[in-house]
Amino acid sequence: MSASSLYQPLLSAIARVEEETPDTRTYFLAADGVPWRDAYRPGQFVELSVFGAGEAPFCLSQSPTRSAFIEVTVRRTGTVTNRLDTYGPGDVVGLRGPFGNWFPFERARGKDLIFVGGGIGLPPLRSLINYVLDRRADYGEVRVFYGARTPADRVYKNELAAWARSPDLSLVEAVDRAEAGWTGHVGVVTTLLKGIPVDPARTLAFTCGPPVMLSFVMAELIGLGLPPSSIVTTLERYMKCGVGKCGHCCVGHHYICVDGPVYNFDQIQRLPEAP
Amino acid sequence: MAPMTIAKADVPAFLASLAPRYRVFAPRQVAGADVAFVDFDPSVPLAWDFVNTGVPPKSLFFPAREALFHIEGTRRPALRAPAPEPPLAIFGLRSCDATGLAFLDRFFSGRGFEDDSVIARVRASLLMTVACDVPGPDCFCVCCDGGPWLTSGFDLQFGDLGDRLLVDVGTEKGAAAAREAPMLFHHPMPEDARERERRMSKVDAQFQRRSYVAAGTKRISLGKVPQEKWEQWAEDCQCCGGCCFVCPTCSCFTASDRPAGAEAFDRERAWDACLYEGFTREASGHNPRGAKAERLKRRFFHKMSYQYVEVMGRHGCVGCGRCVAACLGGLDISSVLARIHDECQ
Repeated sequence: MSASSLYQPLLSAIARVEEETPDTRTYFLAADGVPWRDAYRPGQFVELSVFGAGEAPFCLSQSPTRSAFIEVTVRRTGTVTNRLDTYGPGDVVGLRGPFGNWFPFERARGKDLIFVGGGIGLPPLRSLINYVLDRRADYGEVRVFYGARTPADRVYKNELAAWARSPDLSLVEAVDRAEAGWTGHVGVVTTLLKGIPVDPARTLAFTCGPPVMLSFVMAELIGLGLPPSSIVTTLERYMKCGVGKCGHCCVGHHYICVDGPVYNFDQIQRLPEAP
Repeated sequence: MAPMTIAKADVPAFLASLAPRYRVFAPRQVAGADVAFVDFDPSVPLAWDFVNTGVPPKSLFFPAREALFHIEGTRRPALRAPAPEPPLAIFGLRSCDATGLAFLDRFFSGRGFEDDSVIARVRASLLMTVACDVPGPDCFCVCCDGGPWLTSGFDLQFGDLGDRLLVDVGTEKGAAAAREAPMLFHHPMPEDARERERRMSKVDAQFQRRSYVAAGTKRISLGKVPQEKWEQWAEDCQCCGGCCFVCPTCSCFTASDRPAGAEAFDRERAWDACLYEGFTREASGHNPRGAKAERLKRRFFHKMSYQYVEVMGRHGCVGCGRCVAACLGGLDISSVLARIHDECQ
């Protein structure tokens, strides 16, 4: 008998690093020998090990239809992410996953889709946005609203520019504080939603961002006539194992790592404890 | 298989017969009045007269600290799984603790992911329980379906008959262990079954009935314990985690990379406690359960709510009473359920 392979990660070299913002980078992991490299679903997450520093969960930020890499977008915040920030191409990290449930992309077929992201909340949505763009004919109108503190805090700047030019979706951006050269909206992202035309019966909304933003986004979308069950988000909690054992991410009787992280607001309101 | 008997004086010989196939543990008086499960040593007398060990034998299956794997190097790492372990044979564990191990087995194999280290240890082990004749002052297993006698969850169950023990065989593994030492086991005498019945009803009568367990469970499940009660009770919680560590069913853990040589680490799993302030604190500093009352409420929801019973098949208390002894603030399972019953009408 040996200790659990459940917790022993597979190894992957970092192929490339993209600087997104002053504190956020995207890591492109070669993941050779990771059998699920393109067999995960948008909304799922991985446990990433930086050996000697520890392990932490990160959402898979690219659509499985897109990239030859496993991509994670990471903000420098704690022990693991600060150490990871010193890593570059060739350095090796550990991967376990893919974990958790996923965005209801089957239910989204044929629907108009609204995406509302705030800051570092765009990465999980981006995996679904690109998934939808790769099956564009299966979906109705696609609208993306993205807010960040400043223009420099926007992640995926090249991709945002491409989305802005694309006929396949509409992108509206806002920043809390403008800088020289910013020609977009100034203000919180929820102001972009005011009065937009929505057919509640055929619309699904996906949102991710800081908790305070989420409560305003939900209020705004409900005001537009969307039922809470049609507003989907992805919850985050401090998490160790990712497989429903360590107990850290429990909310009520739910383990965010296996029962979530994707929930609609109707489900969230029924939890015995605030998420 | 029909019950057997064994002389108490023959138990050490039986345990010695297991040594080639198992790492054998038995209860021994260690310090003062404390009894613990330690490696069986035929030259040291077995402890018979104790209610239970201070720490549950879960620590043999789910150790307080354990290397999940070994890491050599950081940026160009090599990983190594730990060495295989011999199966464990535990003599003298109590019914409540065997019930706790069955709970851990179910928990660690649930939700689609098998924690093979814990469940492999549990499933490879030989569990030799001893039914309780006398409840301890804090025991309430009769209210929690945790004892004092078991109908399943053991390989061999030993019940006191005086200078002999009645042996129930729960599994083929238990039967095989007894077959290896045939000269030590005997057919019961005609009066043994009656004597067992007598002892079972005698011990049952000595338990204080605690009818408030069901009432407390109901209120917790429905969220009908007033918030101000949790806040008031939480003032007495020291957030020491003692109740979690002595609990046969508590299973929360953390993991970290502990230095183990030059540029080498162990990914170490260690017991954690939901009452610790840092249990849910995120890297950003945000803490969804930063308030002590929320953590106390959380612990009781997890241990006692129907929502968890639905998943686990039973609630998370086996009535061993250890938290009663461990808690400095009187916030053990039994006392809090009693307060819910008495104060939350």
